[in-house]
Amino acid sequence: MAEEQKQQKSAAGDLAGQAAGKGVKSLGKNLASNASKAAANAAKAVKMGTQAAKVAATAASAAATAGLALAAAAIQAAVEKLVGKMKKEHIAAAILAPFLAIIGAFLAIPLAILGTVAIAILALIVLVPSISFIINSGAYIVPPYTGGVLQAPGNVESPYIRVIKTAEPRVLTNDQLPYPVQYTIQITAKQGALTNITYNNECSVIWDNNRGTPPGCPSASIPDPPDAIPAGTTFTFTYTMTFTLPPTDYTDTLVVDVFTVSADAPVGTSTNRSTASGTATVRIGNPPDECPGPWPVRQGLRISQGPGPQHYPSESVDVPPAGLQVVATHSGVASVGWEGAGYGNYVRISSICNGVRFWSTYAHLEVVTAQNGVIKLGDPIGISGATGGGARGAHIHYDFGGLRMWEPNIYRPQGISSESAFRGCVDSAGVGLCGYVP
Amino acid sequence: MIKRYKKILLVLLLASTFIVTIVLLTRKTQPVPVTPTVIPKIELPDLIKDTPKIETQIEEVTLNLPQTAALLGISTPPLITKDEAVKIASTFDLETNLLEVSDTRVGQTFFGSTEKHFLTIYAQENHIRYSLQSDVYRINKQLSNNALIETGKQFLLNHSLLDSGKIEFSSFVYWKKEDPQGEHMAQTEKAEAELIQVNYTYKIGGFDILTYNPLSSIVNVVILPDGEVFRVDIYRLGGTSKSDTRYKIKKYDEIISSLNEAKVVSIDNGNQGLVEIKLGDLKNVKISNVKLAYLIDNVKSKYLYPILLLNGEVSLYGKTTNISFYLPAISSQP
Repeated sequence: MAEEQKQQKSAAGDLAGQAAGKGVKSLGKNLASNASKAAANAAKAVKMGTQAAKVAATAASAAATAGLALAAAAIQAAVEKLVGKMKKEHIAAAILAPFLAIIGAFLAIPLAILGTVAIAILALIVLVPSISFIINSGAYIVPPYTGGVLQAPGNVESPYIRVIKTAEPRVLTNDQLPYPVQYTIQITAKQGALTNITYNNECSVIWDNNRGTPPGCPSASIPDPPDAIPAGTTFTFTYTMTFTLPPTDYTDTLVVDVFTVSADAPVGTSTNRSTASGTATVRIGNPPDECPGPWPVRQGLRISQGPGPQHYPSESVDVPPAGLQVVATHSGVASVGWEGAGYGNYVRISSICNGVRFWSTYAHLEVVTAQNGVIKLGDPIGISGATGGGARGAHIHYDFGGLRMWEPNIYRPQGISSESAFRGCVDSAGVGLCGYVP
Repeated sequence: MIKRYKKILLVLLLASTFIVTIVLLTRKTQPVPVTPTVIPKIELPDLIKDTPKIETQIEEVTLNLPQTAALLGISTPPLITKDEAVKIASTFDLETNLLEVSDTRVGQTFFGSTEKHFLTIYAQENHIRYSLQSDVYRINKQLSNNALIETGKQFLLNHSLLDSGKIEFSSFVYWKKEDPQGEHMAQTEKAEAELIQVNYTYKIGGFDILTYNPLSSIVNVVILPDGEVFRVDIYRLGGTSKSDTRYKIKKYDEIISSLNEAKVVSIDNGNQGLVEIKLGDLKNVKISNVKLAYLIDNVKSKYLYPILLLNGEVSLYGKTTNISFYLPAISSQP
């Protein structure tokens, strides 16, 4: 029974297989036929669709044309109303007017430029000989400065760049020479990244004038600046200068150098370029003392206030008015500073007198012409005035730190017999209570 | 023939209408004011090389500050030319002795002086200063506030220093000599004033624009009690405009926690030089007043930044006097 069933199943399977084979073929034929029909239908549909689209487009076009025609008809009606009464010449003029206006507008620009150039040339023909005549006659619109040599703009403190320059060691004895001094420069991008960075290093040697012209500074290999310094970071590098004995003799000298960094200011901030500088000094042996003595302003001026506890800092004097040429009373290292209140614009010169480190300050300046770095006795510092706070009348405020404001550090004022007469004096009435600049 | 012309005219009208429409649609809109995405920090001068310990006498409830503030964009007018400097100098009869010098800090500067007065024009800074050389005793005419304000404005106008229409009155500061024999000035009442300082500000809605001297506004005129102008100090600005973005202003807690960032800008009404002072010299620093203002550090800056002016008192060399600090006002908190 079971065998029969197996055989029946087998026969049925064969039949099914044959049937299936025939079925597949039939199905394939049907499918092909159907596909062909479908393709034909699709083609028909596409054709119909295209036709429909064409119809739609034609309809839309017709509608648009109709709309435009309506609009045009309306405008034409309006124009006809407007133009209807116009004569032929008026209509022609109306047509030509816009073209003429456009041509006129195009011509106006070159004509204006040509006109300006022509006027400028005519003006130059008249002005150049006139100005030459004025200059050659010795007359000036703004007269040249005659009070001394005024220096070019120098280093300024930057809100974007901080430069710190240090030397190690800062003090050497003559016995230690030759000696390599290592300089470290730290450049900080205070706000935003610094780019397009450039360096400039100015180095000077101060020694006894009796030794003749001092030598230049030793050569140094300063690395190239980086492409950029990211915001808030500090870029540091070092270089070395070796100070030697004869033939290039650095004994008993003060070496001062100012390292200046310029860079494009960060985006979104004020100006294009920003500059800052740092100064380092190296003292070798015993450089000459630079005690003050002369007054910073010319002879004969009235002194309005002398030194004393009421005059802060107490070692200070005031000499009015504004407009005085102020000069350095000793050599040293100058630093230019500014306080919104207090001193206003000021210059401070640091030096050594009889082995004592001291400074002199020149405050309330209207104009500052000194620069950071080495300054010599008699060099111009600026023009006296009334910058800063507090000061009621304009004057130069001259003070010492580390020295007494009396002989021999400052020449005795004319008309003053003793230090006690000078100390604490105030001459608000202008009668000479504090004497005069000798 | 006429009909043909009419058609041409019609076509031209349609064409011109089309062109005008296209031009109007494609025209660029006005540039939107730029607001910096990153606010640069204000670089306050560190004249005393650190900040003393500050106590506050302010209570949170008395602190009256806005929650937010805009940056102020500056439009700088053309820098002062030599011709303009000469023109200004001529209004003071100083044109014949006007010097042109190069200032180390600010570049091209014009300076002129006589025994009576002097004039300084910092061309690259659009900054002008004028002053009498000294004052002598003047009768106090007890001028009205309006008279003082107008005197200052007229002086600025008459000497081509400023278009007075751009400024508005801000405040008065009254001065007298601290000691008749000394040079230092102290604040006083109007009736006793020997000098009356009239502060003006550019029209920005009530906030002062301060210089690094907190008692000096960006435009100030000092007038003698008889009405003569003693001193003028002005920075010229073309105008100001507020940034689109408003920034959070420090609240009480953040002000207290950031007091170590405050910088001393004035002691004893500006009579005191600051660079000499050591940190240890300043004792018992107490702040009793906080005010929002804008600070100008440079006319070439694109913005004025809001700052907090902290006023109080300090003991210095055994004497109690006033002290002022600046503190950046914009909050660093999100």
